[in-house]
Formats: sequence, structure tokens, C-alpha cells
Amino acid sequence: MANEKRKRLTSTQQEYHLFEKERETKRPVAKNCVRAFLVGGLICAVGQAISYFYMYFFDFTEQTVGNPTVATMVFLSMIFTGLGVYDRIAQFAGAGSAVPVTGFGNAVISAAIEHRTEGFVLGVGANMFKLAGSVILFGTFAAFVVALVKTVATKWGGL
Amino acid sequence: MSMRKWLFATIVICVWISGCAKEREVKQQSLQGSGFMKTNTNGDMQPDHINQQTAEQAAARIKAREDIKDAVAVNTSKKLLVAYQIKHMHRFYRKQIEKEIDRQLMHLFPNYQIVSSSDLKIFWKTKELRGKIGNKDWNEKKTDQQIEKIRQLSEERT
Amino acid sequence: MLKGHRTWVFENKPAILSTATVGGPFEANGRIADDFDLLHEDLWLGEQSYEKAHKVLLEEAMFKAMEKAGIAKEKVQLIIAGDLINQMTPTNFAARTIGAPYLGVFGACSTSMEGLALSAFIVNHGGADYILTGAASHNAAVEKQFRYPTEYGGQKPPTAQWTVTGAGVALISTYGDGPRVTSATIGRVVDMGLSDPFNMGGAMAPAAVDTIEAHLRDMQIDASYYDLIVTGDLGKIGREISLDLLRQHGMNIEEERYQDCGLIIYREGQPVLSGASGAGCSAVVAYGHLLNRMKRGELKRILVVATGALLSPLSFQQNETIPCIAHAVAIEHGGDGP
Repeated sequence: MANEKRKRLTSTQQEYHLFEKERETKRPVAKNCVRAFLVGGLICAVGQAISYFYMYFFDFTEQTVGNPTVATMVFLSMIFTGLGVYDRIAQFAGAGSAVPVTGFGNAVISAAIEHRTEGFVLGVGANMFKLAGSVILFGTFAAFVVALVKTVATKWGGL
Repeated sequence: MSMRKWLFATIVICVWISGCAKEREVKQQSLQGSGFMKTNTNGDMQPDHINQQTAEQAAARIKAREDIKDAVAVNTSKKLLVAYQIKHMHRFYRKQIEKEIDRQLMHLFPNYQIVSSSDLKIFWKTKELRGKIGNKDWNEKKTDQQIEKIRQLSEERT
Repeated sequence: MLKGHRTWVFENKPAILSTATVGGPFEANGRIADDFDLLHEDLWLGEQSYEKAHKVLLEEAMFKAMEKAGIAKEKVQLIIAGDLINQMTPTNFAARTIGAPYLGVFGACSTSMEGLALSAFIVNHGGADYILTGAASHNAAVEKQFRYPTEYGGQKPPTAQWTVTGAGVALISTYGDGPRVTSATIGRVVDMGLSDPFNMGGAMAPAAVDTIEAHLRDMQIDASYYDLIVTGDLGKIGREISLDLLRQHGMNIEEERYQDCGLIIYREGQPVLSGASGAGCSAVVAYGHLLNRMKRGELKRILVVATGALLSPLSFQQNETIPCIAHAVAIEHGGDGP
């Protein structure tokens, strides 16, 4: 309902919207894309290096190395978030630092740090997944739907 | 102040990563071959008390494939362990290639129990095992045990 | 006295006896660091939480203002102040410390001038002799409430603004000398249908323009009457838009005489995107830097137009647009005073 209300803006308001759009600083989309690409790639390269590290020095195969790699990346993200550096990287990189698992770690960790002042149970515990909660919920749900589709497709479609 | 934190963090990470460059000393821990990271092998280890002819054959056949970068194999009288690396762009078809190679090997060597894998770690381990076969005090039983260990490792899922 | 549609003229010209401003680390690195009475090195101020630190900012400013005027806290008859935090708890707790009768006001970032207008009116009509008025904001506490956790890596667009960590307080009185509050225009809520919480400047500009026009019209003066018209926190984008709007409406305003607190407080190199904002922004700049300039004789008459965006995180999620308001107060010095 509120969306319809927005469409029914008065003509003065619509005029102002155009007026304002002309004058506001636009996001530098192209620059942001390049930065995101570079930083995202760098983070993934670091992740790959960590994978090789675990495969070389420990008994992990390509199949099983995912676990310690992700754990290490999240650990690194925790260090950077705690040092107050991750949000600066993010201002530069945008999606490049938000999409990899380090971004997820940052979302959870920053919320946990922030709500320390309200205690562990009601503060940290209740608010930790403020930002990441949707990721977890919809990720799990999407996985379920996709698995369902795949099962149906294989059973009946013979794919 | 924020620049300093940034700089400090970067330095810490660089130092941390450079620690991994100490290959010589740290290599003790698991993998001992020489020329190990190089993917070109010319099979200069000639084992003399276990005949590796089957393994050589298998490796050569697999290596000859267009989509395979490198292959290495070890065999005992009953088992054949083949490890190979798929060329990067062909990794999309990994499952398909694995199936094909498995079938091919089973067809070529019907008397052996085949263990094949495209995993990088298994490749490294197979290479290491090949190196060990040339040593004294190494016999078929040990090879068998090692192959079994490697087979179990290749079947781990998480 | 009411003049025109919504402007109060204060015949008794209440005086701003003293002011005090307190700032945080970013402000200490800013352009007007010398105009602060007290600057802090970090955001915690030795407290256990950001909200408690926020309270301390306001308390320190209030005590400093009373100290500078030589007035004991028992003599203060009213406190009119506010901030951005839920239920205005930092201001409530600061008022608890002072112990004077208290009226909490919420005008988002326009709280400082809303408080000043009300204080001047009450003092003018003999409702009190000494009133402490002010506003404060704390970057971390506000970000935590309105946006994301402070360490969260969300990229802010170039239209976003940086919340000031600071408190500005003034002591208004019928007696004594100092810059005088001569008139005030109360703003009304203006909503042009914008809904991006990362672009407050664009949303607030029409409200500022509305109030400025109402003031000039009610007082029947021209913009050139004032040496400086300064808005609270429109930022780079809001200032540009409001200038264009004013010119479009036929008001001739010179660029140097039209400034914005959000652009005055920080230097070029600081990562504040399009400028500063927060209830403390207009308070610290007006009560610190601008009044100092007036006392030095550089400015004789200024109009401070504090702007506020009256939204909440919830209203945004419910697809509401951003209603804005602006309150204007005219301060003059060099009339009767030194």
C-alpha cells in the first residue's frame, strides 16, 4: 500500500525528485565494479593460498579442504573487523568484500562486538544475527527449493 | 591513526604469509619428494623390486588424453592406484572425465583393484609413494597398506 | 510576539550568556577544533557503552556552560534539550545529573534550534531567568541505532553523511550580556517523497528553503539583512539543492553568505562523504565557531537554520518517505552589546 502511495506523488514532489536527481552525486558504478572485482578476487586468491597451505601441510584433499579454509577466512575476517579495518576495506571495495564468506563473518562479528554493551545473552546472543539472519534463512530455504527441484527433475525428467 | 591500523594489519598478514615460504624446513611434516611441485615427471625413479610396468602403462595412457595435464600411478600385484590432474578449463567436466577414466582403466586392467582420483592431494601422495618404492626395506605389503590409506583418503567427503 | 505566520520576535532580546561545546576525535581533527571547549580522544569517554558516553558529552557541555557564565546549577530554571537516541535517554540522564526542571525536545538534527527558539520565547516572556538549551549526538551510538553496527562493512554512497560526536549547549538569560536572540521561525514538516536514508541532504533541503522563506517573508526583510545564513546539516548536496531552490523562488542569496554547519566542521581530507550531520552538528558549530566569530565582531547578524529528518529505521523499512523540518533562529551581536 505504501508503494502505491509513493507512486501517487504530487506533481510538486515529482518535480522535486527530478530536480534532486540532477544534483545529487551519483554512485560511481563503473569504478565500484572494478574495485569490487579486484578486491573480491584478491580475497579469493588469499583463500586459495590458504587451501593449498592446508593441502600441503596437512592431510586434506581438495574435497575436504573447504572446511578449514572457510574457518581460517572467517577468523581473518574477525581479526580485521576487530581491528576496525574491515569497514574501510568495504568502503573501498563494496560488494568485493561483502560477498565472500569474509563479508558474512564481518556482518556477524560486527553485530556481536556492537552489542557487547548489552550483555551476552540479550545483547550479543539476540543481536548477533541481526544482519546475517536473512542470509542464513534464505540461503537454507533456497537450498531446500533447489534440492527439491533437482529431485523432482531427476525422478521424472531423467536428467 | 586509522592508516596505522591498516598498515599494521597489512604487515602482520604479509609476515604471516611469508612464513609459508619456508618450504625446506617445514616440508618434513608431510611430503618428502623432490621436484615435487613441478608437474612434469619423467619417471626417473626406477623401482627394482616391485614391477611398476602396469603403473607406467596406466599413467602413460591417462597422460595421453587431451584433457589430462599429468598422471602418476603405483601398483602392487593386486591393486592399481592412478592419480591425475585435469587441465584447468576441463575441470567443468570433472565428473564425466572421472567416470570415463575409471571405465577405461577397468577395461584395460581387469585383474586389478583400481583406485583412481583427480584430486591434487591424492596426486601428491601417489607421487610420494612412487618415490618410496625405490627404497630399501620397502615391500609390497607396505605399498598395499599405503594404497589402502590413500584410497580411504580419497573417499572422505567432509 | 507573533509576527507574520509563524515567526516569534523577542522584544526583550534574551542573551546567550555563555556556550560550551564538546567534541570527539574526528572533530578534533576537523577545521574548527580550536572553537571547542573540550575534545576527546576516543568515542568511549571512559564509559562502558556508547550511549553512556553520549550522556557524558552533554553533561560536560552543560557544566562547562554554567561554569563559563559563573552560574551555579541550582540557579538554572529549565533545561530544554534533546538528542537522536531512542527515548532521548542520554539527555534524560544528563538532566538527572543537573537536577533542573526539564523539557525534552525531539527535532532530530534540528533539536538545537528548536530548543533555542523555545528557550528564548520562555525567557522573553518571563517564564524563567536561566535556561540551559542544547543538543548532542554520538557517531557510534547513532549508527548503531539508525543504520548498521559500526564495524560493518557496508559501502556508503557519496550522498551519505557522517554523524558528529559532540554536544553544544547555551545558557539563555534575561540578564547579562552576550549575543542576543532576536527572532525565531518554527518550521513545519515538509515531505517531498524522498526515501533514501543515505541521502538526507536531498530530503531536508526543501524544509530548509520553506523555513527560510517563511522567516524572510514574516519579518519582511531581505536575505542580505543577515551576514550569514547557515543551515544545520544539509551537506554538499543539500546545500547545492537548497541554493538552487531559493534562487528558483526568486530569493537572491550570495554563496559566501549561505553556508552549512555540516561543511564547516570537517576538513577536506576527512572521509565524511557529503558532510556532517547529527543533532550535535548545528549545536557545536553555532554555539562554538559561529558565536566566537560574532564575539570577535566578524559577524553581526546570523540566521541559524537547523534541519532535521524525522524518520526512524522502522519507518524506512515500512516503505515510508522521509518527512523533514527546519527551525530558524536569528542571533544578533553588536547592537546593544560590546
